[in-house]
Amino acid sequence: MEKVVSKEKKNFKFPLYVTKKIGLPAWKYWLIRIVGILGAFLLAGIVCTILKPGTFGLFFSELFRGCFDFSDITTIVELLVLTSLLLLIALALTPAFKMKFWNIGAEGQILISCLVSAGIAKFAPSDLPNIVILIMACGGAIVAGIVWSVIPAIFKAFFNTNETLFTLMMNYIATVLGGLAVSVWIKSGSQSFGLLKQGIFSEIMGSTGTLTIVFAILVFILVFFYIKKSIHGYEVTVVGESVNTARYVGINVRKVIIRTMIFTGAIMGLIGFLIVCAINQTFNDSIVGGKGFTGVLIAWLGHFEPGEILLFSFLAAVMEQGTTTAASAVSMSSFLFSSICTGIFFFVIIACEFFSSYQIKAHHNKEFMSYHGEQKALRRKKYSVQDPSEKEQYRKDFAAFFITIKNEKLEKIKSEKNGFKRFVKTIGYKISYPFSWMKARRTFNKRNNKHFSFLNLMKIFGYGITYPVFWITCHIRFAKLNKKAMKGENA
Amino acid sequence: MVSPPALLITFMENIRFENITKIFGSIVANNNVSFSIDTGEVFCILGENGSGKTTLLNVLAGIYKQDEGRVYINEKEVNINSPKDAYAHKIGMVHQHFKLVNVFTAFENISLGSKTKYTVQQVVDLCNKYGFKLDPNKRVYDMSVSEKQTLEIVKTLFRGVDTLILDEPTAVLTPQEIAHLFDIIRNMKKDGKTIVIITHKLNEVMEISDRIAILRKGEYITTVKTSETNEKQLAELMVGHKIDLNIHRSKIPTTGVRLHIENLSAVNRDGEIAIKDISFDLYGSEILGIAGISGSGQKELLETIAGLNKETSGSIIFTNPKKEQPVTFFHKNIKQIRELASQGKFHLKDGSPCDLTNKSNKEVIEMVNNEEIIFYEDEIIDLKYKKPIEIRDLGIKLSFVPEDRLGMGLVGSMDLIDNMMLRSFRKGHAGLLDRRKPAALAQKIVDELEVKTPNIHTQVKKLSGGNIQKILVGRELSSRPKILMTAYPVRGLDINSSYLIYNLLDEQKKKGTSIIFVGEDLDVLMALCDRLLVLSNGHISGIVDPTKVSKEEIGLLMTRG
Repeated sequence: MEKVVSKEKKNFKFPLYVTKKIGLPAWKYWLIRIVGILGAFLLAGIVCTILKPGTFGLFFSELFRGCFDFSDITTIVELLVLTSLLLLIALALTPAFKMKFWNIGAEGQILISCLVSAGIAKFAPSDLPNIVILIMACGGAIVAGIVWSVIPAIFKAFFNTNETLFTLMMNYIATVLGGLAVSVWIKSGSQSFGLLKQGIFSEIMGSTGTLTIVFAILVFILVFFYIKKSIHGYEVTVVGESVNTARYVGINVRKVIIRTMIFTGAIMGLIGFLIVCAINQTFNDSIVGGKGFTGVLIAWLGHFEPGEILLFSFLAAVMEQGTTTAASAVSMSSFLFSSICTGIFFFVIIACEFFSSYQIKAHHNKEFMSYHGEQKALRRKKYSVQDPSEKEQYRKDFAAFFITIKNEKLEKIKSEKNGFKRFVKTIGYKISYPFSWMKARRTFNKRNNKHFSFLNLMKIFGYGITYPVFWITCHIRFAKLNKKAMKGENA
Repeated sequence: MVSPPALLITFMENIRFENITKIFGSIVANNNVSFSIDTGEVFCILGENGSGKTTLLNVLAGIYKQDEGRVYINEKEVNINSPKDAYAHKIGMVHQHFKLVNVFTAFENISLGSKTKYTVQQVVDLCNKYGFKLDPNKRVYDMSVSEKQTLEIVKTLFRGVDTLILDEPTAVLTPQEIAHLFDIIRNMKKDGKTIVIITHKLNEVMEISDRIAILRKGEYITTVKTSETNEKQLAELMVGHKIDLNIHRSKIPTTGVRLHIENLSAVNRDGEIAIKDISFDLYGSEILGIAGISGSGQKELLETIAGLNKETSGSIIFTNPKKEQPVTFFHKNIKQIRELASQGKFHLKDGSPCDLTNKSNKEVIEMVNNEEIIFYEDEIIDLKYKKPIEIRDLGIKLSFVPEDRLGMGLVGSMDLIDNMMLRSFRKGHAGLLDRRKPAALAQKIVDELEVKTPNIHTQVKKLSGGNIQKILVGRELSSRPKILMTAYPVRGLDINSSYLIYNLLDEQKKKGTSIIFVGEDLDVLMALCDRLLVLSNGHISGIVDPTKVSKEEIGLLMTRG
């Protein structure tokens, strides 16, 4: 008998395994993502209630007020500025990422440009007009950004060094240089840089950073065309997909790597200039505040597609700004709480990426499947959920019912003699299609005495949401039953 | 007289598949496959590439787990979850890509990962028993492909295996090595071992096997006894309809020397000498086959000619057959034409010498358009040290279908249009891409070569191997090349696509193209090519006429030196 048990133990396998999902339709993919985004916000609310009980509703109302307060235009402008900043960083990274050049040094590249533009703005002769100082600061920042991003590119192109480590280390160098510069420039007791007095943008619509939005739109268009329509963008994609192919068709790989990083560096310089001269108007060594890394995440989640990147920059900005407001409303440290929430947001979205490319499957076992099927049928009855066959019949009946209604309507429209009216009616019909579908569903249900009451709906929801728990208990019960049967046999 | 035990063994069922189904995402690799393998027989699994042979046997070897169905061994259902489980049931598999540690000796590789300790003497004894030629103290990186395969088989046998699965064992061997392998297989069969061979080569199946199971597109078709069938029937079962197995070789006279290669040497990516002192001439309207064991320098030779290899010595001289042909703007710009004219390369239509120094650009353009400027002689260009793009700019229509389709010739994640553009993307305006012409070309190739694709916006990697190859070959042929180089153009293709490619090459030959064809199947090489260049270890061991030599002689040349 002992032998049997040990054999059983040996044969035990974890009942789940992970396989790749292939051919997921786009709408399903986006559904997973939308559910994930909503779930992230919900989770942030739950975390908030755990930390400060009873603030669940307040959290969401404050989150909304912090982003979309239509009575105060400044909040919306600030939200857009934050979106633009994240968008700019992600867009700057996109061409290099398309080339599979994993540049995670956005932080340092921006910081060094911040440093240069702050220095130019502070020490420029004060008799120069403001616009000249701005142009000088911008130019200096762009050169600094290019230098900081081209160094790893040159090493990658000629010595094949690892660009990820290289750019990461360049970040630390930039931080040290920034701290050094501040301590050298500020000789008096106070260790802060202070606000810039020249070379700054003036306030528009309650924010000094409003022009960032304009720059972001311009860069968005530029990057979109650079990637999709230009010869350079095509070369970048080929190099990223396969260096061998690039060599085979005669692309100079080194040139492409360096050129693309110059492009990235120029945008990074622009961002640094905007942060110092427009948004913050001051300088310290943590001025970028981790946005460079957030940008890396956004570029990745957006699959290096400018449109998707725009969406995710906006969502990340909402999360950051909204939670900051919400935190102060429920009297928490706003910086810490918004960091936690941003973390939750990215964590959930990345989990969605996993579930959209992989699926968790159970090992196939005939006995278990039949047991599982029985239990499932019992559970369906308990929750009064329709059987699949019943459901199919219902669907068919409804489809037939709906088609008759549809045909009636269409014939009505066709019989209209006035061409213009017919045209307007056709459009009206098309717009109201989902509503007419819902209406038909309601009438159909009424006719067939099928009421989907709230309670019923909750039951169905409960059935779905507790399914994994049921599945696991099913496994445990089955194992127990098996053991019992085994004992019986042996006895 | 057959002794009773042997009779018993022969008819005992060993392994049975029952309704095996394996699905990868949306691809059904095996659908409801059921058949059985007997003890002590040589059992072949025959099918085209992609018919699910390897997947099915990987299920038996514990690499994959079937989604549905059962495996029985000696009438008992078994649950094989890993190669370890497979060894416990005395099943071992030798994969197409060897799994050996390069820096270890043969003996170390054999003892690696097994709990029992072996001695070198045991290895030698086993080798002598079946006739393996293996030096236990030789390191793997010094071994030839055939030796590595031998080592894999010995390694598997040392795990106490009774059923040995060989995945495409003859793909990389010379005829002599194949004969030796078959001798070993017969020895093992005499010893009572079951041998399962996965293959798509009909002649070898007929030679070695007892019974043959045929798979087609993941479905099991039937099992036949080798003694009751022939190659033609097998081919029909494999493909599903009647096919013509004759390769067409049109006999047309060759034109002058296109490519003259002298004392060419080059290194591979690791800096080792890959080819040395290669000299040959390539004529117009001929197919020059290159035979040799894989890794004998075929790849490097083609890459060197195509300008992808930098460190070379020797000369590659290309002769552009331009004599008495008018010059065009197709690949020469006005500056180049003026320069060539000053060197006396042209004459006018009426035979008088061509002097362009006093003529304006407009006049020259008009003369070229009226085809008044004629080449005096064939254009002779040295291709050495020229990059691919320079070769293109010179107007040398040299096309190259590389061995690695998706890694080199095409970009898998791009659609058909963007892949067409790989050769012509520089022809855009003001830094922007022009996608109209590539789109038209893609549509033309899809129509003419019957590429099966939903539309021209599909990612290339989503198509089957045959269709991918058609796209690549179609693109390379679209520039109407003077020289076409192809490396293993039918590797991984089904029979129909293979014959389509052979016919395409023959058509090109008729149009006057010089073709270099690197192949692995000697039968095909001998049937298709006009001349056969045999490479061995990076140098030429002979240039032969395939109609006058036997397969065995070529095999000897492949291993000489």
